[in-house]
Amino acid sequence: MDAALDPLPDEAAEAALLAGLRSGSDTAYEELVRSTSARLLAVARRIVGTEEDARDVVQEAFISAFRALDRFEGNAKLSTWLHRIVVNKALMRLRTRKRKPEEPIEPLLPAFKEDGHQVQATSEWAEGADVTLERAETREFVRSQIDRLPDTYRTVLLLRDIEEMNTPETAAMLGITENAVKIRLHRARQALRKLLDERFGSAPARPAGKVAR
Amino acid sequence: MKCRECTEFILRYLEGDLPLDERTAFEQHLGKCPPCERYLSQYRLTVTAGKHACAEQNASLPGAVPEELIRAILDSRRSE
Repeated sequence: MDAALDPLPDEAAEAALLAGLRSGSDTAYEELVRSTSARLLAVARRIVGTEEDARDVVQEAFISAFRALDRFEGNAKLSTWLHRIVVNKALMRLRTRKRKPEEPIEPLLPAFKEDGHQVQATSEWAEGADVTLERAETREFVRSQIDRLPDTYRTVLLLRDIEEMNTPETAAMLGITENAVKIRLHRARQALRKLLDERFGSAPARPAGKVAR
Repeated sequence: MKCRECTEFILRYLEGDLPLDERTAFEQHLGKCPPCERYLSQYRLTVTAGKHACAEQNASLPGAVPEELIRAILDSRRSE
């Protein structure tokens, strides 16, 4: 997590806030909600996709957190603890929501010929593809492409790469094995690369095998 | 090593999970296969792009949260 974005960076302030929460101080509860809800809402929006669901998720998460506050041991930061609760609630919401059948991911993965070369060799991305990330419009495009990934893969990519959870945490959160997390993460990144290729790819693809020295 | 294995090994390579012999074979393949080298570089840039694209959402100011949501959360606690 980016320390600059952490709303509760100071240990003493965190301890004081926790003491306030435990004593039932309205001010402490308000401080907690006001200082953390923007980031939590962003997390929920990314996972569930709609504003209405995201707000419900954040509200449910805070209600759960308030009830569980007695059991909060202070091993993690309050903001990290809340983040995990929101991710969990958002994933639950995603599972219970009626959704159309997932598109297969295979068309977005590299295809290979019998000799082991890619059917379509990777072509260059435009010079400065990384620089264009400075543009809001490019970042919006990247987010829209993440949203196109099938949920099975999108959730793993979000938890590992965006929410910066590690493999064991991600596996526990999704109820899958660590190996499944790694496989899905790799495929999700490959698929996203392919989707970004539509924007960043400039040179026409050359036949595979001919460019290798 | 062929492009197929090279492509499959990328995540394990980046996470430091490849045994030395496979790591060496991976790097040797990259050294002589520009398309796989490009693929690895674009894979890395894809991860960076995702992080970069989502970071600004996290940085949204507290004012970005609707006041009605904050009130609803605080009210739900008082009503318990």
